[in-house]
Amino acid sequence: MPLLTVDNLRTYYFTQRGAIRAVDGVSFTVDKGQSLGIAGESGCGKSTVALSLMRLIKGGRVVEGSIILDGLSLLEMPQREFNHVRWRKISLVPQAAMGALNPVYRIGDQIVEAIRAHVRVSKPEAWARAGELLRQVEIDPSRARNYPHELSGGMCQRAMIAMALALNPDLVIADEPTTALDVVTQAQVLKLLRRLQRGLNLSVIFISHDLSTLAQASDRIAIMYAGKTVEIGDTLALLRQPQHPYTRALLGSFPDIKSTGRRISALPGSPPDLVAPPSGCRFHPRCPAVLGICTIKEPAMTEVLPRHYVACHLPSSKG
Amino acid sequence: MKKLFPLKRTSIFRGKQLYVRAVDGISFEIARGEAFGIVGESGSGKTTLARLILRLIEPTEGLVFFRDRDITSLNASEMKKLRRQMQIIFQDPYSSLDPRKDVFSTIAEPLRVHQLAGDASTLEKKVRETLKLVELPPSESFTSKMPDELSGGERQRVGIARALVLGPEFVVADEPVSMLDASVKAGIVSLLVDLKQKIGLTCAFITHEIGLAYYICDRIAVMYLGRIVELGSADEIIHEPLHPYTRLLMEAVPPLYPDENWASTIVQRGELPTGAGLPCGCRFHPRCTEAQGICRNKEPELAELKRDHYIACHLR
Repeated sequence: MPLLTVDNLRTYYFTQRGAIRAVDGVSFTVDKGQSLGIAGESGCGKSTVALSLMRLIKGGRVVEGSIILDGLSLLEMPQREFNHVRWRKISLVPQAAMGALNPVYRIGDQIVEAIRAHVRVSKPEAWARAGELLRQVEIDPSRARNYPHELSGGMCQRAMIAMALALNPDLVIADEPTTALDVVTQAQVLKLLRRLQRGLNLSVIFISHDLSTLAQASDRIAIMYAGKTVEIGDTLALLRQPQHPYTRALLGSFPDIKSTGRRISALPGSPPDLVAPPSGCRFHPRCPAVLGICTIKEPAMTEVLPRHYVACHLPSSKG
Repeated sequence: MKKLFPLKRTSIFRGKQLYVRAVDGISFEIARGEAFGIVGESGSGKTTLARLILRLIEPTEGLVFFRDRDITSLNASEMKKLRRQMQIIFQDPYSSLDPRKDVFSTIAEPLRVHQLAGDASTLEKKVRETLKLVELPPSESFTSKMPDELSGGERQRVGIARALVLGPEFVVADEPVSMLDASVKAGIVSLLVDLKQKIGLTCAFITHEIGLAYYICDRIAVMYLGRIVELGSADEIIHEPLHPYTRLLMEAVPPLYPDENWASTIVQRGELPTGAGLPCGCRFHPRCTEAQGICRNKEPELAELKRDHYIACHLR
């Protein structure tokens, strides 16, 4: 039984131009102790998925769908009840940590604040917990007395991870946790997240536009395009045998210097307008293998290989 | 044929008596038609270097030669004339375009500034030709668009068009794709490779993504804390890196398949020092797994280890 089941999630933002269908029928599951990567380019809806899970959507709302976390229906519960769930069972590591931290408070104060906003403990207890958490993310606990500007970007990001772990959640959502970091620091943070996942049997949803990052950080990957999931599968299987033309195009656009030969392929066009998305399959205007049916009928997610799902009218291939 | 820059000691200082040695003794040359990569993490000085090459900021010390001519001592009007030959593509396509100018005006502006606009129909022709060069539609419906109507990739192509409209010989591309999505990046990178071949463009390509440098560049210089630590052909730098820092960078790049052994030795190597506090001796020694006594005391000079492959390290 999965820890998290998201079923037919639709989150729209309401603007003067009309409803932006940012997440438009997304379903996936995450098992206990498993890491799911959500990959896609800007505007595909991946951050909106994260915010929907945390009930932090502004300027819009979840219009349909269900989110079940450990048997609890997150969308249906009243706000007060959800406030107990948020941070205790599910938490968020936002992008660009240096900007998410308050510059005029010490790191320790901010972790303590997060703890005491959700549980009744004394300040000394919360400070002790903060020290423990910093140690867990490989920061010397004495740094709790530092301000964000006294820490490097990588340390700030790790401090945010510590904050997300403060109440021992079952699921942590990491939204582009390494995007603003240098490649070496990125490697350190990714390895840390993997260790935490395994050591704490933590479930993680890892959001990134960078497939090579997800290759290292997640057990399964979901590819999103224009508000929809187009492919979901185990990491190795998805990367080795991508089924969806968009996944293939995305893979082809990453410089892979560890293999031989210099090849990089571009995908023409750009992602569609989500107020009036294309009919049928949303990817069809840019798809190199488009068929007639693709312009009319939206493909459903089907299991084409064991535990490997694709939304595409084209027949699946093994190569 | 050789062209362009020996650039010697240059540093920038900020504040009283405190020096941030952003670029600290860099020399290199770029040959005509070459794509020269400058790779480094943030704080390496690569962006400062990009601006120094074009004299968008002034060096504290050192010289820049463009076509065997010392440009560091030129006055403003001489420099302005030279700028027709030396242009820049900026990193952020969202802030480098004037939000109140449409596509046409943005690309026409350099021609106007340098009084090369000619009459209306000549100007139009030049703008349209440049748009075709960057694979954008030369139509009126496109050129009348404002920046906020364009995608990130389109904006960056407009930025490239603006840099190319004067027909420069040399372009500095400062992280031209780092703010773009993966598939869009690939398009811009391919465009730059095409331009290199089509119009023989010489360029300095600045990036923190060593994989991208490999695609575009003939030679790569790896920078660390204001100095070049390794310089060689792109193939050698990527496939046979010699300097411990280059090796660290290469190791840190995640492969496109899951690898448990990836970066297993990177974990506790610390992070870049910030600000004015530079390590003594070799700047990389605190993070170097092979550091010896001499590394802590003496700064290594860049020297030719193999043919056309330079490295600043005591241990090789």
